Amino acid sequence: MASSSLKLISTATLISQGAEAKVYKANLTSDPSDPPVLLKHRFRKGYRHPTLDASLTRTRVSAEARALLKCLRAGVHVPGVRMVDVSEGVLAIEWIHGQSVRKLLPGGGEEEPEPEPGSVESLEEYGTPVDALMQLIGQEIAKMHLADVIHGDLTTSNMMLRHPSSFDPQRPTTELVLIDFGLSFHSSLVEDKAVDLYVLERAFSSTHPESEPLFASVLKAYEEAMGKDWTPIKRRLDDVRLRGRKRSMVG
Amino acid sequence: MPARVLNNPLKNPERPYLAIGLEGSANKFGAGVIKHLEDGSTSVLSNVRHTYITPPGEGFQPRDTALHHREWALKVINECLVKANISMHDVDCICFTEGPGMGAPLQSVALIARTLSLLFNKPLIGVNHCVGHIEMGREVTGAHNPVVLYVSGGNTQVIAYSRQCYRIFGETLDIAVGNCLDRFARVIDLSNDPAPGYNIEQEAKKGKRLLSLPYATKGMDVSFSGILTAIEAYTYDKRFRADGLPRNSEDQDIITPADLCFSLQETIYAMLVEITERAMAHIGSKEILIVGGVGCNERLQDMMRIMAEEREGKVFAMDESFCIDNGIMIAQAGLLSFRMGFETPLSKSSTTQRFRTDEVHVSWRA
Amino acid sequence: MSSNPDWHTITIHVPFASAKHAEIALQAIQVDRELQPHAVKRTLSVEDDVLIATFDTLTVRLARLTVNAYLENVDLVVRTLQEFGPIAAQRPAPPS
Repeated sequence: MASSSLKLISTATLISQGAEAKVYKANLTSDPSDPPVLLKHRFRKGYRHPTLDASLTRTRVSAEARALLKCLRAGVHVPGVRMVDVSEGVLAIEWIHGQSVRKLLPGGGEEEPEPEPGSVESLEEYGTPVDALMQLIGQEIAKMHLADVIHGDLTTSNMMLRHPSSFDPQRPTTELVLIDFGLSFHSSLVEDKAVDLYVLERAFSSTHPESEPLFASVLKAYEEAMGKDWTPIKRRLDDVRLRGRKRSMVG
Repeated sequence: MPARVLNNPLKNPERPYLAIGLEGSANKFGAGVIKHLEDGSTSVLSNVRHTYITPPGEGFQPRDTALHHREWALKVINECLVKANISMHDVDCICFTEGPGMGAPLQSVALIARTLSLLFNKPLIGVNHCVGHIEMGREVTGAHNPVVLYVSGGNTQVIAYSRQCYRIFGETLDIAVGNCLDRFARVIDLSNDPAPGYNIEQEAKKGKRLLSLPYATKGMDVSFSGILTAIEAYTYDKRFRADGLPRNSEDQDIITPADLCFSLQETIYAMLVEITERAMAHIGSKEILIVGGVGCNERLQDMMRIMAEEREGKVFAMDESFCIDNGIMIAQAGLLSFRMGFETPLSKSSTTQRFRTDEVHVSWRA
Repeated sequence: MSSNPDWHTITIHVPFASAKHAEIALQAIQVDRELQPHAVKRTLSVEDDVLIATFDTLTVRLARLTVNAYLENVDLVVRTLQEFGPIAAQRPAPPS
């Protein structure tokens, strides 16, 4: 007897398969005017001992759900949580209509063929200049860190801009949404926040050309939003940067 | 998408090339002779090794390990030349492990390499130990462009090749997985012969209970010191029976050394498979190459294979003659760089305990 | 080189089978720096077929440790030369 979560998956459309989970687009109800949801299914891994597998899945799904809820309560822009099924490893979250920051920045669409004119989803279409986008990123991450949530996998693929059509045309606005909290955890430690930023810095430099000024804008906005918490984090970030290159191997 | 035409910078040699490789970064001393033929193929002419095995409960220290290498090196080198049916005059270069590894053992081997280089007037080639493992793995298995899981007593890294560099995608944040296994073997007094990891593997086959252990992956990285502490703590648990037997017929809820070995393996190998899978997903690779002494472990190979099959990928692994530290891998990596014009000047031939895999310029690949 | 009277000086002469061998030993050994260059000064030279090493050390203990390590290295080079010397001599090395 399949659980309702698994039944939901069987009618959903598979979008991608990452290392950890399969991601689907689905409808929770049969009403077409209801917005779709994103389903994240942490399926059974055959290589892991079943007990270990079940325990890991449970821990990770609930950690992800909890992180999202904490962010929502703190006013961080993240997808809303629609359904959690810890035993099946299924999480249903708000479907975000928009584009990842990675694809909106130069360098992010490298592996893909040139899009045809007219179908391009560009930053212009979103009405957000690059600098403003960097500020939004810095602000959201600051809000998240102020809530003591560490993302754990900050990359430009894990941030999205909501498409302008999502907003009231009378009051158009822009919203940067942080997604994929699969590796997130709770921490108030300066070390963890610094590492979170460092991961993003590395992601910027390995994906987008001339990323230094971009990331610098992100940090500037982060600094402003963090207030007095910024100084210790900045100091630790400098340490982490040095450490990354010098991690030694002793044979 | 325009196809990038990749020209292999290393062309087929105009004549056969021979190299001897000397390895001694940990407790194994190995010497091997490799031949590169005009048709582009490679032949292992000999691969000889001697391991310094300590009594149960003891790890190997740098001083004694260096002493072992100094005692055995010349014998091993001689045997290696005899088996290859060549003389030292015939080699094109003398390759040795520059690092990373234990200081005194590395230095002893380098000293021999230098002496031979001066005596026979042969170029010296310093080789990165990790790159040696990778190049031998590629050669033996034929893996095209795999994600490499390099796991040994001294190293734990997930590596992928990109633009003449072996980039480290993930690694241990504290100790190597092999080190974790070796230290645990000492805690339960397992024999170090032939290797502690091997004996843990055999013991684990008798284990039944999966004990709860901290599972420590952090994104692409892993850490093992927490698990080591936790598994050691179980030996103080009142349910632990060091001889593996219940005290009486009512003694049901027990923990045996086999259970500990089983639990440790299942947990640490799951962690390694997970970070390897992450790298595969990130890069879009379908091949996995496992190198390093811990790569001999069959349970790890099985688990990796299961994961690979779920992703329509393939696992490449080797047997112990190549997995475990050896001289032939140093000869292989050394000869590749020599043929691209690399040579280590005598004055720069000192060894180093720290030598990151990504510091090497992989000139022989596109 | 320090000629400070508070330091300890040891000179070691090791004869080799030939001047060439002594020179090889010198070149092979001198690559590695002393681990504590501020407390141990080393000079290596060859006279005829003898390798001469002079160590100036800050303490007696360092003198002992340094000399032990040096002799271990010399021993290794000597045994290598002994093992492979004859074979090397059979075919003179071609001009480089």
